[in-house]
Amino acid sequence: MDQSVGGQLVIAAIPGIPALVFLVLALFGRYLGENAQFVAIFGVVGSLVFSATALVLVVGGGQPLDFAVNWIDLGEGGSFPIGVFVDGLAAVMLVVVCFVSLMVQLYSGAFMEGDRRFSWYYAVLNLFTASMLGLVLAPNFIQLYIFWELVGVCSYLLIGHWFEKPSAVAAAKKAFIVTRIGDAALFVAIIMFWRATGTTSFEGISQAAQAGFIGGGVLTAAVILVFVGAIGKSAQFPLHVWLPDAMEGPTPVSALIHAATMVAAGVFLVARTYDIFVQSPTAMLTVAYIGGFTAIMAATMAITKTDIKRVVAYSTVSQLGYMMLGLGVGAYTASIFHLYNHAFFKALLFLGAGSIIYAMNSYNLQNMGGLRRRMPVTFWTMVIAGLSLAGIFPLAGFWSKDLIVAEAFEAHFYVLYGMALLTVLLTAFYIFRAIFMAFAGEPRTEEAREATESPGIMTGPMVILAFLAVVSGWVGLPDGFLGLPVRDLFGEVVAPTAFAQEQLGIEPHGFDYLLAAVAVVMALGGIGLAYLLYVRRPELSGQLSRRFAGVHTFLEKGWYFDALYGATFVRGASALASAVRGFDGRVLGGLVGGVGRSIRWSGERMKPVQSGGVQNYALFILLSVLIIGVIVGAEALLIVVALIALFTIAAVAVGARL
Amino acid sequence: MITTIAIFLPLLGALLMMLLPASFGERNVRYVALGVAAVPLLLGLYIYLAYGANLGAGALSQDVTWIETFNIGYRVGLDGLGFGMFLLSALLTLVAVVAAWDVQRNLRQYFAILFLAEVGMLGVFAAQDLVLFYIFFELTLVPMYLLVGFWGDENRGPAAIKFFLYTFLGSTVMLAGFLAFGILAGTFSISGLDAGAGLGGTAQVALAAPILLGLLIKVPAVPLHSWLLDVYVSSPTSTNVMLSGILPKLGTYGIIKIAIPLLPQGVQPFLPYIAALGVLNIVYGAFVAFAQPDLKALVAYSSIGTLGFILLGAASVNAVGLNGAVLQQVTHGLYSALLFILVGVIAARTGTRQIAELGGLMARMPWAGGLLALGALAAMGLPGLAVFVSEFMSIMGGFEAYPIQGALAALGIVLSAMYLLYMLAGVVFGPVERPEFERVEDAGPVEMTAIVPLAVLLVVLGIFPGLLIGIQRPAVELVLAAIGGS
Repeated sequence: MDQSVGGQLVIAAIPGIPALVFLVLALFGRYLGENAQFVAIFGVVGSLVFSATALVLVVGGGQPLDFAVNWIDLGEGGSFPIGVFVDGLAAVMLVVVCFVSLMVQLYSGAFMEGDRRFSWYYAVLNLFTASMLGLVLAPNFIQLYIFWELVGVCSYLLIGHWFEKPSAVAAAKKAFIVTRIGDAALFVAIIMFWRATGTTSFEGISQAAQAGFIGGGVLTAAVILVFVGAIGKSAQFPLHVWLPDAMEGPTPVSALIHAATMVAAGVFLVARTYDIFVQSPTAMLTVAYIGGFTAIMAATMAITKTDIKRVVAYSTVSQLGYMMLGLGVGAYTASIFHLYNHAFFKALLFLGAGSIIYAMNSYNLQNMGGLRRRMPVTFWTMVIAGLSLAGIFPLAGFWSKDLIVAEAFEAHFYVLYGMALLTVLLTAFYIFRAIFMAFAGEPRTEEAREATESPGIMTGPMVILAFLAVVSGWVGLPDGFLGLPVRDLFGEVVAPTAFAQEQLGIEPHGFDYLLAAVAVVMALGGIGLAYLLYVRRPELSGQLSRRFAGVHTFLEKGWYFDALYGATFVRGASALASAVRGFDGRVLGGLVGGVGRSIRWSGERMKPVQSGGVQNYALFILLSVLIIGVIVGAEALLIVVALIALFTIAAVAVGARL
Repeated sequence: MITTIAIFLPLLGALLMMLLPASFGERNVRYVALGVAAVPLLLGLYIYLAYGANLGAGALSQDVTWIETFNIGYRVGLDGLGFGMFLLSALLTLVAVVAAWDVQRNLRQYFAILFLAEVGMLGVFAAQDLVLFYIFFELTLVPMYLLVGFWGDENRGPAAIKFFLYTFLGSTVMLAGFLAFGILAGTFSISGLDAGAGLGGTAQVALAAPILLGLLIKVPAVPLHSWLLDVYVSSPTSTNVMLSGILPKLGTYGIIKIAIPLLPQGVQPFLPYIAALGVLNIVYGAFVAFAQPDLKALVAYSSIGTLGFILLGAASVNAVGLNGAVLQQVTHGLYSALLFILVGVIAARTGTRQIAELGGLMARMPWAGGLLALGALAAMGLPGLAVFVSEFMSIMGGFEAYPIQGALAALGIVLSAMYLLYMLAGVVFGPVERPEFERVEDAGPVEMTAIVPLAVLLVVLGIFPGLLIGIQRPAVELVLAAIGGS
């Protein structure tokens, strides 16, 4: 394996280039203006090339690239290294992150044109990319946490990019605080591991756990806390509430957050620490059920939304639920495969939504209609992304989603299988509902009638992503699918360790054509239902929502999670803070204040003693005490004490005059 | 010798300020003060570069017997525990001189008193004798009291008196402990007193109690903090820099430098409680800050909150926690000074410090607003900025020693994000709150000169914490050996 200095430089440059671009744009952005995008794109192309190099190195070398240097060195007291660890998982993630970032940066050039803080936008976009790349490379928890937090703050800055809007500020704040709850849990997990094993490296902790340094309840608790961190970042139940609001940010940012950075970090974390997770069956079950529940919950929320971005946002929550479900039931490769495929079609869905918003200046599906003729490129790419998301054969989404659903069945999690299958139906329904509402029928507003296709710099990335939304899954075709001479290349690059496989006791099994057929039929059913309700008989959907008004509102309000958290946690924290502040001022302050007032009163009596030139007088006291103390040399301690007493009385007397 | 020179140079500076003729223009007074403040900093940097790896060098220490009967001496020297703060004292004095734009009257006296305070601060972090430590300790108090008392806002009188009396009470209690300790042990030399000086466990506890109490008031540890709010709020900006940046560290430094290594058996029973007080600071400070309508009061309570990490790390007495605590002393000083200066800038521009009345300042003040955001992110322990390093080390060390306290301290991660993001949303982001804010000007060159070095240091130390950890590590290991060996 190429562990040479050159190899190390290539790896270090992957996050290094965008970090440097951030610095350049942050400091000199105002001189660059909108030329900032060219600097940024040039940088991310470099990172993409190096990422591809890393992938080739890792796949070719057959073993991970791994090196580290000490960041904080306390000798025997412990040390905290920073370094890189690139295995197949990391290498694939590097390429995906760089690629999606490149698409988003190309697209943003037109979408953000004329923005007041154009270069700052690109600066943060690059810091975001650098942070995610650094996170992917991390060989230990501390480094992961560092970049994990940086990813969080970048999303805060980007969601709040248009901070003149109060709703954007609120959404950014909410995203940061909600994910920080997860971060705190992750941090506690890190210190638990560190206390028990004396290391923060993923490899070291896994081995220490295998050797029994940490076990039973402590291990389970720590692993579940790690998962809570992932829940926060990946917007899983019950910390999913920040992601739909995050739509306040510019749409290309949503594409980046939802496809490659931020939310992907949670799934990546579980995958990266998979050897630790598999040692706790309880934690694995937690992951699976939280994922399964989130998948179906978010899908139901998506079916009533009228804001196109929110439909896609809930879709992300739901799809990440799939990935968590997959990891929980042992479908490691399938989950990462889905993360990879999802990145392309989800980025495309957001860029498509952005294209509509760019054309119409509206998010509202009810204002659209008939856009297929006005915006053909957007229409066709969105349809491809929708089919891929729904899991229609042979598009990319089919291969990975079907694997997860099938493996839940094969591993005998029949409840989870049922939930996953139902979610397939819901997914196909909500996304085609949105597509039909936007593109089918007749234009419902003047804006929709006059919408025009977006410029080439926007549709270009969309076409590229649409191509990938079809073919990206073809690198992971099941071995010998339909008797064709194909190999599961993805599964060879991204595979669980031998230890994890043994721990899970997974038997390799072939592709199950029946399960796949069932899933595709469910998806087609969902599309058909959407066609019926929104194209053939649009009046039916209105009747349904009126007949089941309660259910409709419940789904529309996102199961009332925001209201619930607002009434409990948000108000609770405010009330508690006010109470503590009241205590601080009245009780503690009152006690001391009483003493202070009596002193002041006695000071008032002493006033006539003093005469002008107060400042100089005080200085005189200070200097003379110092000089007497040092030069004359107090023979006895008494003198020192007496001087200090004098010093004090004088000072208080001066103070009383103020 | 060089240490002594560095300590007392500001005294000469103070005299110089007093001797300047009244006709000397205000601008010139400021330039002279800048020159005076720069010298100790340059000396400190020279020491860092020349002796950084070897602070125990004889060239840096001095030992002159002063009162033979009690073995009290003028003993100064530098070590890794105090050197970071020694440098920071010199730096923040310089920053305070720059940031003294809101001081208009009696400028010469203001700077003279400021330099006197600097003598005390530099002295505390170099003192190697208990009585000398106390003298320097007190020497900081009186000038700070005068600075607030004369140059503060309309509420300064009661605030200054409360501050003076409360902390003076604390330091007197501490002095009593020192005197008893020195007399029992037969010397006041800190190096002569290693690890208990042969005193029994009970005697050590009896001595540690008053010393710790005095030091904890200085920090201040909640619930001994009620002197703090009024004096912070009443102070001029440049006094805030010193009050929050340096003064609390006198207390924490005393715990790390004196209480723990000299009375190891004495402090042992108190350590879990000190850790608990640290957590109380973190949680309590965050909640009170959350409910503060006044921006400066919010920053004051934020400062109280993050001081808790120093207490937690110090009480952990392990390598990670103690190194974190020593580092947090410096990082806390950097970020709190930064925030107080920015609060001063914002208040001067807008005429208000009420968060409810502010809003949307980013539009007209991108530099001040952006740096306020940077300071707030530092305060909430964002990685990449220096406070993160010291906080995570303090929490890790604290968790290793006291899992419950350590885990609760991690709560601070959420709480600090909560109030600081509310603050940012209310002050810099959102729509422009008042029409007159459309005309406010951004931080000017003078103000930026005070702010930028702090921001740069927060970033540099956040990425290369080894710059300070490297020099403090040997001294921390000595403390650990002292308490481990008892």
